Amino acid sequence: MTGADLRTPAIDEELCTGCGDCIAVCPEHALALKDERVTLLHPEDCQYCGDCEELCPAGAISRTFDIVFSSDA
Amino acid sequence: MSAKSPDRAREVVLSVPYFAHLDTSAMEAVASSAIRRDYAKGAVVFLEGDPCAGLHVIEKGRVKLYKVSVEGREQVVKLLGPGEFFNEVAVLDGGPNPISAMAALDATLWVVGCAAMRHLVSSHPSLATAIIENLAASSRELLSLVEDLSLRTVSARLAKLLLARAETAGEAPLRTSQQEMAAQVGTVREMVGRVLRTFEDEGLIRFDRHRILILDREGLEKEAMI
Repeated sequence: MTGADLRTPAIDEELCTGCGDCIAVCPEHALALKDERVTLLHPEDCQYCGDCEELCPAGAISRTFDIVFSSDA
Repeated sequence: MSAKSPDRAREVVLSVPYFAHLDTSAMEAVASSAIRRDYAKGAVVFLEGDPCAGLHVIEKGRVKLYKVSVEGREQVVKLLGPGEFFNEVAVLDGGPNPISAMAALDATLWVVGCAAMRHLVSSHPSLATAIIENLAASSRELLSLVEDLSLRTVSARLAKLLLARAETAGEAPLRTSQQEMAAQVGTVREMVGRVLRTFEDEGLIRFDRHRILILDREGLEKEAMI
């Protein structure tokens, strides 16, 4: 895995309510509660799938993307 | 942080395409009145409704011009980069800022105060012409935005945004979240997620971890109605 591949979702601690929905849905079990807020405990396991972002009721999790043409587009 | 450096200000003024035809006295007048300000990514430059913050010229970084509804929903009106300037409307009519501005990336701006700028515009015709040309270009862009928001579907607007972002990816790469895409195309994040998945199912795009790859440019252009 290269450095660029290690990009992980951003978690806004101000918005996070600590409900834990994202922890339950994460297929890689990469998230955990710490001090009543969600944290990415195992960033190396994160597949950037976005399930946590989709589910978060507070909109506290976001993934960023580079938008590029495929070489054969 | 703010600072003043006439030499650097002169270089920045010269880098603005609309200022290319300023006569020497006008260029010098703008440069000597400009004050440098640095903003970290996410910092508010000025807010809509506040007294005229003056003309802002971008030396580096990106600046987002946006409106916010009473419910807190954001509509991005324009993203600007180096060599562009903004807030000329408030400078020209003397009214409050018509829009809010935020640094989308770490940014260095040069600011000429409202009163100083109005004086410069009235005393340097070439500067007035440059401001009017920029205003005309902005009007065209706003008409395009009105067309997008009123006549294009969310899918079409999002397809158009993806194509525009990919076109400029080599110049000024800007990481974009689904929330930011939603703010640009006038919808909510959940809708952006659904439309992106539809595009993926149709083979127009593919998610490659943190990249959205456009696989079928023509298909996406058709979706964008362009």
